[in-house]
Amino acid sequence: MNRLTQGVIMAVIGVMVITATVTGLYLNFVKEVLRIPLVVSAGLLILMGLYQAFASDSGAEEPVSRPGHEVAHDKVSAVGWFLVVPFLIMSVVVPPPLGSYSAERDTGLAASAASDGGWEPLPAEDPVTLTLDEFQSRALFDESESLRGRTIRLVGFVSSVESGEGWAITRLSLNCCAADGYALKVDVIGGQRLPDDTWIEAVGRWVPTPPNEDGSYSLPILEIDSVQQIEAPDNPYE
Amino acid sequence: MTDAPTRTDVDGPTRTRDRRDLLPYLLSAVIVVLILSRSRIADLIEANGALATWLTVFVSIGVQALPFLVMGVVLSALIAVYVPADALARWLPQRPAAAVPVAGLSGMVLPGCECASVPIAGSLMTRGIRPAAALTFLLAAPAINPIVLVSTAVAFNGRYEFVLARFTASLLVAVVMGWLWLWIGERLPLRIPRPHQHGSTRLGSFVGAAGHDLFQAGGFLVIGSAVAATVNVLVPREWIDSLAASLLLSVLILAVFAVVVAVCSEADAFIAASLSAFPPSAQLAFMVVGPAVDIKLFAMQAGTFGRSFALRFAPATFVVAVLASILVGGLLL
Repeated sequence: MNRLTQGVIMAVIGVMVITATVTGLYLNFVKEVLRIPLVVSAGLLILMGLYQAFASDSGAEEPVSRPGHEVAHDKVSAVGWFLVVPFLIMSVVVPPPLGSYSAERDTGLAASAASDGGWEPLPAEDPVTLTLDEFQSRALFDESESLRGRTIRLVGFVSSVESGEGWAITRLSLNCCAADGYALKVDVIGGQRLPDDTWIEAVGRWVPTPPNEDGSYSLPILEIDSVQQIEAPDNPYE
Repeated sequence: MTDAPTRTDVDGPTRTRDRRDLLPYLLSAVIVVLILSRSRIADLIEANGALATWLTVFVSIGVQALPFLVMGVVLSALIAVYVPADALARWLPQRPAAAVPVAGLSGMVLPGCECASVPIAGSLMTRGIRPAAALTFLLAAPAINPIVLVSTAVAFNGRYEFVLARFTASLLVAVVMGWLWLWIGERLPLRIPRPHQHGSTRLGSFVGAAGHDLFQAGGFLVIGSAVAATVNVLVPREWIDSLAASLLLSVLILAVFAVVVAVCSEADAFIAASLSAFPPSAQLAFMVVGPAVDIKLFAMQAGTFGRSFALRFAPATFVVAVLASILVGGLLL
């Protein structure tokens, strides 16, 4: 890999990454907080790449190879080419966000127990829109049962489960990037089943269920009044 | 592949260069094929959830690592080009045995993950820091920096004993490995990256060094992330959850899991916390082993310091990290 190639590839990676932050494609892979770090690092790559390729003096470009001289040290081994692969796949193949395939391999119960401060009352709006994480937490851990009697709107995609009507409203959530994605699911009663990975908005009511005898929890349940197909949200993760 | 110093015959490098010259054309051909067959690829992905998931996870590790990788190579190039050769060495205690713990604590100041620390450790060695101290820094920095400690506190919902245990165990591993290196490591094969002149101006040298490290470390990072994506797709999390067993076995299972999934040290606490079927010492082992030795880190170490080094250093680190987790976990958790 000589200087010109290195520089061009750095700039190309930078352009691909900046494009992904502009189009929102990056949200398929990482969290929104990474936007600025991505833009900054991609900008650095473009500047360094252009300098490397065109402005840098070429005096040291190709060290003269002499027998017994450790010349290859200055050069990047062919493995360096692999660096471009993930960004190429991102821009050309455009992998979809994680969906029902990942969700079906996960229990879907991820809500953490209540914070010490207890639970705020739900907003007065009707129906009230909740994230799946909040719905799960309140359904499983809120002793004041703030969900009881409320009409609730949830947004997610369809994935298969074994209980209830055989499908669940599902969302994936990331800690850092898609490699550590985990599923949040809400089991349903009623409602028309749409194909897996279809994005839906479901309105319904919480069905209280007691914890299992061994102290574990099952997926919380929403009894559906209406379900509507919607466009995938800008950020597929919750 | 990268053990270049042994390849000193006259025609060796020339032949290699001939083969390398074909790569840009090969890559261009791949890009053209990809673009032309986009719709067919899209169909293939839609029909195959495992393939789609593999691609998404593989790309996401690269995208997630990029800012840290760039920060790492820029810092390491700054050290290599702008810091005088003996300035850093003078700052550390003279006695090597004392320099090691100081280097470990210095790891607290680098707010990144393991992708950043490999090139930095390389350029620290180039700048005259003893390998033992640089390797201690390499192990400590991704594990005990403030971002990682805060994310650990958040993941464990304010159970600060986990933060303290993680800090203690990781620092212990880094320092023990540094001392171990002083004791027996000097005889082991370590390829110290050489200072190389990339240009006649300082800016030219800086950009040249950063570019060199970017591709050297980044290429291996991508190989590691391909392995991690494969594990992610092939091994459902429920399997791991069902494996929780006796203390020693649980610790070993989560330690091995940490090596193969290779998540960023800033995210691993969330995964550790979610593995609540396991005893606390095993959760701790996941967080102590991961930043010190995992598949992508191993690949990067092999690329920077030589394969024969990585083949000895990584397993030794693994053993020390498991022992430290059991010890510290037993005392604090």
